[in-house]
Amino acid sequence: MRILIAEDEMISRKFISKFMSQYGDCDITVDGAEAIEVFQMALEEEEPYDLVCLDIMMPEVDGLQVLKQIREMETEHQIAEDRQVKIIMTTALNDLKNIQQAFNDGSAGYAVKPIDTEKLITVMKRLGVID
Amino acid sequence: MRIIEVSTDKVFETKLQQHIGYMNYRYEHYDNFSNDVFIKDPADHILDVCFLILVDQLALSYLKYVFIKHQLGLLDEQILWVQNSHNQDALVDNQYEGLKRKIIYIREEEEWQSGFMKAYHIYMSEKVTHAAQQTIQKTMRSMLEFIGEGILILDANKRIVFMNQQGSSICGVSTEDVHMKDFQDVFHVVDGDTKEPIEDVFAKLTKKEPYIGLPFNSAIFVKSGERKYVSANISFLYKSILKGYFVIIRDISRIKRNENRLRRLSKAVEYSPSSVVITELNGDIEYVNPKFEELTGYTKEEVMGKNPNILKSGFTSDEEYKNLWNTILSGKIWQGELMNRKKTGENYWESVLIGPVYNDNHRIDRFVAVKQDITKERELISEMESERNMFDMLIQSAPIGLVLYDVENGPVRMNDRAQSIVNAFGTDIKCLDSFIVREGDLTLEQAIRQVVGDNVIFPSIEMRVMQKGRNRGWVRLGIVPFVYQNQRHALFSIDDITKNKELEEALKVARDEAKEADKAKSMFLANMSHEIRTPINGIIGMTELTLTMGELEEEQRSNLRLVQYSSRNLLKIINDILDISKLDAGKIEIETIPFDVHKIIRNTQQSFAEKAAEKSLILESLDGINTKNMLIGDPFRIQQIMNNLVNNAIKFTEVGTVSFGIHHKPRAVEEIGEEGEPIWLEITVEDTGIGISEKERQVLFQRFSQVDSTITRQYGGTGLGLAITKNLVELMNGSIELESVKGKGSLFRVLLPSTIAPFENYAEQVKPEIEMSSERKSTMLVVEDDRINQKIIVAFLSSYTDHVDLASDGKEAMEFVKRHVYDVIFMDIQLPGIDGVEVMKTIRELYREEEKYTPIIAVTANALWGDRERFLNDGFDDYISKPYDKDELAVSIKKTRNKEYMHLKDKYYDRTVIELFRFTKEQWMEAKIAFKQAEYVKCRAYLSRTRELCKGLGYSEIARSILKLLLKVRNEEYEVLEGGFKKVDLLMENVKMEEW
Repeated sequence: MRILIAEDEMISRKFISKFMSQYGDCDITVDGAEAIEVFQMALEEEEPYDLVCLDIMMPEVDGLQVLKQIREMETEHQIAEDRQVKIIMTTALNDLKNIQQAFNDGSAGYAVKPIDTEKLITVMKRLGVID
Repeated sequence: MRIIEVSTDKVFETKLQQHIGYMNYRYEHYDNFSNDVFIKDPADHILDVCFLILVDQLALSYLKYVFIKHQLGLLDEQILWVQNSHNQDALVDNQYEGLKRKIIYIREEEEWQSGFMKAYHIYMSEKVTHAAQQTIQKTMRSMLEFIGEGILILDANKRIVFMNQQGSSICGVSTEDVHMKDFQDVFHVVDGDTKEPIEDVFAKLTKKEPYIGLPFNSAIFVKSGERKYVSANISFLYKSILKGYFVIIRDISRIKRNENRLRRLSKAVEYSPSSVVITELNGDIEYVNPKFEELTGYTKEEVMGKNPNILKSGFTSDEEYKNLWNTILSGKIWQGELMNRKKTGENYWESVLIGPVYNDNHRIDRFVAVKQDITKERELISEMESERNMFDMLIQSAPIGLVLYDVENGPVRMNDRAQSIVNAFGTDIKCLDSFIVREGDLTLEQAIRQVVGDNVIFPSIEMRVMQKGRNRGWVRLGIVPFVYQNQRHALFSIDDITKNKELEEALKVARDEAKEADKAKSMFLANMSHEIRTPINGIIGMTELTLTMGELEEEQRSNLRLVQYSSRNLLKIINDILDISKLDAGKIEIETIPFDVHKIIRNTQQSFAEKAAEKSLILESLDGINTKNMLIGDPFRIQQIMNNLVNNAIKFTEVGTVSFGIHHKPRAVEEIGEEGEPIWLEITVEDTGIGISEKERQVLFQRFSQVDSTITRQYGGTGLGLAITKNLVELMNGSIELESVKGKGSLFRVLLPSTIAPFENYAEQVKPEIEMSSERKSTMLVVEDDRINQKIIVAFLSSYTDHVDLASDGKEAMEFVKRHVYDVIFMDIQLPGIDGVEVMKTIRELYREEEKYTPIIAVTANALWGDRERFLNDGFDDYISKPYDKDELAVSIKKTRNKEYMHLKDKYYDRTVIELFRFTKEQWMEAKIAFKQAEYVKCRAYLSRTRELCKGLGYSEIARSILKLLLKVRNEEYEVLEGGFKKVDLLMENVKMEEW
């Protein structure tokens, strides 16, 4: 499984990449713009990602914008809805509004920081990226 | 008198009463002094001749005449008396030729009223010839005709024998028509008022009383109906026996009218509200009117003949009295005010007017004083004066400046304070321009004109005091319209507020600084909220990771659980503190978005189920919301309130139930669903916990307070939860209340206003709020002096923009860029005047602060193509050559007008394109070196920067390759990197500045 992680904050990045490395190959990006570019690159080189972990709060291009761009890129590449990349949004506890938005933008899961690994596993299971 | 003295004649002098008719009494004189002679004397007969009297105007007079009789030949001489005041000459009538006569004229000048009477007394002897007698009679008759009074001669039967012209005009009947008519038929004399006939006066005539007048108020009514008041003298005509009557009748209507008028005038004086005093020349009182008596308390009798100085109060100076007497004695009127004293001793003020009264001889013989009691007026005036003085003093000494201002003439009056304020500014209030109202630079004059003209009121305006362009201070003015002497003025108060203003300024600066500080604090807080949470999240995350993945010994695991627990608590505390800080700073904004209220209940149930279960508590939820619509509100804050309350309830409950729920109010409504309908949400959280006593409740919602300090140790927590809850509730315009019994449990009830969202609003609201990158139409500026070239480039650019401004030279270009920040500027290098490089540099300076970068593209003639490096070095973003080429333009715009390039330029504003190229290569070299030295962190940084630079300069292929390297470095797949680096190195070598 190819996993793309976008997280601007180092510790969180390390945590999530360590955690995710158990399940697949992780590419780590440090901001939204980079994430979009890497995702695009992967699509073009036909090595698409299976899972993207997006932090909502990132400078410049935030997670929600990345999410939107990803969905647009997928549409451009005519990727069917059921084959769309699974996305987990990560965010601070009191960011309910953004989470709600993320849901409606097409994210399939979210994890509230501090990330509870059990919950993360639950979400991943629900998304069907792991059994 | 001298003449009489020297006269050899015998002279008699007598005075007559007013009426000429009395002259008849001379008979008596005759009788008296020579009765016998007179009777015997044939001179008796002269009575046939009668008298001739000429009266000029008025009856009132002293008639003085001299009776002369020649001592010798009395009987045979004609004696003619002449009194002629007009002519000093004796009248000699030549018609009396042949008669012996003597005429003497005597006049005593000082006693004679000049010019009103002539009298002829003619005595004729029997020797007078008949002819002469006839002549004389004729003469007499004609003379009688011209006399100004009615003269009639009646026979013994009172029939009119003769009536002169004046008699005719009195009775209104011609002289012919009255001949031999009864006198009493012609002159039907009646009482002027009653019209009753008067008694027969003729009957009263006796020998003893040979002349008689008419009763007072006698009048006749002439044919025209006019009433004429008449007086008459009737006397016998004797010649031994009664021969008839002699009647002199006068029309005295005019006199009567004058009399009436005088009487009325005298009444007016009597009734006058002013006191009137008439004195003789020496000041002795001759008359006072009743008002005088009333005022002074003296009766008429008491003051008669006394001097008015009995009224002296002693208050008036002798000087003034002297002046008074000098004035009136010189014939002028004196007017003034005197304080006099009443009989009672009380003083009073009089306004006095004293003037002389002249007699007919133009000599002063009386003084009249008309006086008005003005004591009350004086008192009133003095009262008013003292009042006015008081007001004057008030105004003068008021602690605020007051100025009465006339628009045209400047200040009319100003008090001391105003003066000193104006003086303190060293200015002149008349110089209106020295004051400028701060608001809208309205001058004082304009303000005053508005006040006077439009009735505007400026209750309080602040004005800057300017002098010679320098700010001298501040005044506060209140300006109101004020009518003074029937003119509209402006009244204004003036107060020096320079010090206040300075203080205000200082305060403002301080406040601004404080605001800045506060802003900084808020910024700090906002940053902290993220900065603090991030490491804690790190701690929590890594701990958790270690717990789930690591192979740990039990003790380590237990320790880590404590770390996990502590850090979670720490996060909660920090969240609370940040929340309360935000609340303090007013930084928390309450959302009004549609939300699913049912979800809040579900969330709460889920969140706390485990916690409740740990304590074996029953967690009950009640969903009382009967609508499928969303509600409008702030779901996160409502959730926070709910969490706080439930968290507390669980925390403080050991046994029993915690139940929470949301209802809407009013609950009775079965199905609420009306869109936009306002409702109340009622959140209830009930527990069977320790409860809160009345006393504890008072501090319950205060921050940092837990009802019992031991609780902190026992239960933990910051004590901020309820304070935050209460603050949030109030922010949402809601209310929170508590019912509790110590030891039994508590019930928190929160009421929050909300409205029902329209159903479709749901979908709409949850749509992504992602910022649409709306590429607005670019604005471009072309600096080009050639008109044809202008047209060409504008045509080319029209596919990129519909906003192109054209400047013909650098100066014009500067005007444009000052007004607008362009997206792209094309600049001809060879401009007339200032050269393009200068203009470009100036624009760069000007645009430095702008948030976006504006590429400036040099346009050069072919001949200068070789200099392109120079222009890039100068700082142009690109260069194109003339003639304009559409493709060249397109490439240039694409190169410079893209996000990456502008991002790069933003970051390295002062670096020219050439420098950026060099910089890119340097960074790449650094990355390679770092990689070789296995300094991967450094390597990543250089790679990132190289990639950024490549993107900005348009080398996206290289950038992508670098990104791949970067991903691998991050994943620590160092062994596979060599190839990647080599590949990029090759690409880099081909990067040539000239390609730009």
